Order: sequence, then structure tokens, then C-alpha cells
Amino acid sequence: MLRFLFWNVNRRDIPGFIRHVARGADADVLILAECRTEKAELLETLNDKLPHYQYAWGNCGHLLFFVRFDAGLVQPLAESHRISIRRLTLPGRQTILLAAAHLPSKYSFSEESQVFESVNLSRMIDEVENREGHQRTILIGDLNMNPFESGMVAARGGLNAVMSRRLAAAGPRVVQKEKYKFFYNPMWGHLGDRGEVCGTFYFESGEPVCYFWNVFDQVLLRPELLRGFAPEHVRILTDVPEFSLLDEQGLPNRDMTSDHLPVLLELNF
Amino acid sequence: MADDLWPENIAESNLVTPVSILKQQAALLGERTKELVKGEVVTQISGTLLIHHFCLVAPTLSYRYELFTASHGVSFYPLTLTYINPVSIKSEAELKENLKRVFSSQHTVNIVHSILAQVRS
Repeated sequence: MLRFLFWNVNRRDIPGFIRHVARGADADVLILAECRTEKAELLETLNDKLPHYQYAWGNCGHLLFFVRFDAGLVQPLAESHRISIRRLTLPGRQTILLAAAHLPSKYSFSEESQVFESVNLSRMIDEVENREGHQRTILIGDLNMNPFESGMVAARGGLNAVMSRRLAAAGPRVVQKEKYKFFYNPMWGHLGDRGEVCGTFYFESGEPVCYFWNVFDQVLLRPELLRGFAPEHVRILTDVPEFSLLDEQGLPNRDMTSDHLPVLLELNF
Repeated sequence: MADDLWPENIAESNLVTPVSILKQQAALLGERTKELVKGEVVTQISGTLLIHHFCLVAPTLSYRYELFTASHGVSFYPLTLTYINPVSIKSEAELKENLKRVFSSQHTVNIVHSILAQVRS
């Protein structure tokens, strides 16, 4: 079981907390968005006691990858300022694609613009999958959209990410006589009061429409990877040993760590 | 069915290859520097010759420096280690002894220290 941890650290310089969360979650692959800490300082902090993590070089300005195996095994295939798609080739396992993204926030992009970002991400993934000749793809990141938004669910260019594993596994969706590959989006199951928190990001505004909790940080899987996945294999982390990521109100502790909560995926492949 | 003329032990090999020794040392450098500078071995094949390039790599800078090469034929030894000048090496013990000399040389230490300083700056 490989463990992937994604965390948007909100431009906070918190190498010690990142180390604590990465080690506490026993993460094999650590992907950070909005990390202000220098890579070298973070690497030294992550490896302060034992050499755990290697920095996996990439050209994506928004995302940093650290891995607990030879960094040469996670090769960038397509990258942009906010997206990094990598080939992960671990001995004795099937090669998979790991796509990570930090899409523009709702502060700066309208919902329509976010849909276009989604289309761009979907196109990049599609191109790499076609080149690589398989669709064993994980998409993980801060997509700055909730699972129910158009950019997440729409076919014909969007991510076509559905809430039902059975639907996703049933094959491509046909719209206007054209086929579109599904993603399965297990984050639908993390909306609302089932867990300790109702999302990964909390935002309260005076607008009439306000969701308060949002699931912006998501993990999506292609149906080809669902055999090694169970719903409990994706978690929103609220605490790690001896440390809570929530404040007294039960919200992400933005003063201590980040306004986003980390997402952990465990996967067999 | 054809007679099998191969000896019983043909598939049994427990020889230690020079490249495995180099890769172990490459990994140990990463551990010593908290993965800021690590070793990397890239093997190139030229005819019957295997040429191993031992590089110092700073992943956060995407920087690579070739420290030495080790080349040998199919039977490993004699092996030619080219650091500043080429040296002919006749055994595994001699290879380890020479690697220790290369890693401890002021030239190597200076290079690793310089890369570390660059990474941290």
C-alpha cells in the first residue's frame, strides 16, 4: 500500500509541522502546494533524524514532490505552472500516472474561468494517458472546486468525475455520440457531517450562498486503479500523533499550520 | 530433447558487481547530507565495456557533477577508475580502498561542500 499525502500549506513557513504531518501520516509521496519554505531547508527538516525523503525534481512552480524512495522513479512527463503529471515506476508494481494540481482559487477566478482550468487539466491528463498507453491515473491536489461543481463533473472537456464507483467502472460516458473517460471521485463521500470535519477548507462569507465547508483538496482515480482502493483509503487528516490540525472550533488551524487540511490516499497497484 | 551441456551451477551467481558497490556509496552520500547532495550512477555500454559514471547530484538545484568513471569488461576486474588520472584496479578490495581515497580527497570534499553551500544559499 503506497501512501500519498497532499497538503496546501498556505504559504506558511512551517517545515517542522510538515515533517510532523508527513511522518505522522507515514507518507511515501508528499506533495505540497503553496510551500514557502526553501526546498533545501525542508529537505533537511524532513530528514533531520533519518534520511526519509528525497526531493523529486520538477518544473511546476506551485507544487513540490518529496518521495521516500529513489526520486528517479517519479519522472515528470508534462508540467505547467500549476500542474505536474508524473510517471511513477516502482519495482514490482504497475507503472501509474500521478497528476497533481493546484488550480486557481475562487478569490481570483470566476466559476466559468475555473471550468476552463479544469478543461486544460483534463486535456493534459488525456494527452499523457494517450502517450503512455494506459489510464492508471491518480489526480490529487487543491482543485479549488467542490466535487459537485461543473468543472469537476462535466464531460466534453471537464474532469468527468463521478460520485459512484460503479458508474465510473461501467465504462466511458457517451455525450453527443462521443466517449469520455470517467474519474471516480471518492471525495463526494467527505461532504457533510460523516467525519470529524465536513471538508478540507472552511470559508465563511456574508454572501447568501455560502457552503462554509468545502472539499477543494481532492483525490480522483481512474477506474483502472479502483481494484486496489476502498473508500476508507482516502482520508482528510485532522490530526497526527500528539498534534491536532484543528483549532478549538474544530476548523483548520490557520494560525498554527494551514487553512487547508491534508488529504491522504492509500493505494494498492 | 537436446542434451543440456551447461554445468549445474550455471544460474548461480553471487558475485558483487562494481556498480552495486558504487550505488551503495551513492546512496550513503544522500543519507549523510540529508539528501541535499546524493550520488547517482549512470551506466553506459560501449561494445563489451561497461562505463559507470559516478555523479554528485543536488536535486533541489537540478545540478549534476561527474566525479569519476569506472569502466570494466564482462569479468569486472581489472577495472579502470578515472578520477583525476586513470588507475587500474584488480579486485573488489582494491576498488573499495580506492573509492575511500577518492571520497576523502580534498578535491571531492571541497566539491561536496561547495554544492551543499549552493543548495543552502
